[in-house]
Amino acid sequence: MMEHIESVMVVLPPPNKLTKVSCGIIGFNDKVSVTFGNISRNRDLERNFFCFLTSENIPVSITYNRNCHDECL
Amino acid sequence: MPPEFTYMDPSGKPDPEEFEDAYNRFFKEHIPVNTRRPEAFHLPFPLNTKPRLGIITATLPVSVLKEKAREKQVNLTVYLAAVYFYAVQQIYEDPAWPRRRKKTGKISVQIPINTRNLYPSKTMRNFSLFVMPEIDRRLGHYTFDEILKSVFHQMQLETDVKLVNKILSRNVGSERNIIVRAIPLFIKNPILRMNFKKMGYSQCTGVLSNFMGIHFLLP
Repeated sequence: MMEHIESVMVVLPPPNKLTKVSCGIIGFNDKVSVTFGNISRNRDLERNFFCFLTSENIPVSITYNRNCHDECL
Repeated sequence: MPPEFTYMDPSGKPDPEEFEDAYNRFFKEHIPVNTRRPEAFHLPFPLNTKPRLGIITATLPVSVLKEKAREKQVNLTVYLAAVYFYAVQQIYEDPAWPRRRKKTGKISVQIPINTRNLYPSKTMRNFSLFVMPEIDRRLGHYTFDEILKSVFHQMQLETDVKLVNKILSRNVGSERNIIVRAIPLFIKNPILRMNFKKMGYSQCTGVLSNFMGIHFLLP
């Protein structure tokens, strides 16, 4: 079955108004998928997180980006 | 079905342990409850208009990430938690955000732990607890290595079964109290909601899941 699945992601329950951001991590095949759920207008946390990883020479590729007003999956 | 794939036969008789309340089973009486933590720093960002949730996913090669974590002698959850702390610290230090939005410098992240590794339960019901490593930015800037060291040791300490018992006794203790049980739900609900606001997410800056790999063995 593994060959039929390209990627897997885990979306945590939507964060509340205080924490605003939640982050789910899951491993599948030879990849780790990091998913941020964000209810705020700012993406600095995600940017800082992925920029740090790239500065450490870890290749990061954004595979899914859905804005709050986009259509669902 | 591959022989190495362990599964539950739907036609078989379910094990009573599958639907037990594991919180109650492992609850120990007369354990001092966890003390309330002070309020944590929260991201000062304005909220989106409804529907609010935006999602962004990135994939990273596990081999490179594991190599980095191995270099630092930590596991992947600790490594990624340290990166999360570092990213939050950068926001805390950003002068663009006014000081009034940074009432407290305590950055704390809620990370769930796999309780089934600590307690031998086969329950299929919810049975999860979490740890909350923290750094206090008021003490000064933390380098990534300092954060990593601090998070690693806090995770090691807080996942000790005796300390996890404290969290468990806090969660279950009031639920078992006869007086609390006698109060009707319509009175309890608003009180619980108020307590959740005061003691729930106010104590943590964000939530990060622990790292788990998944496999599909079915052909």
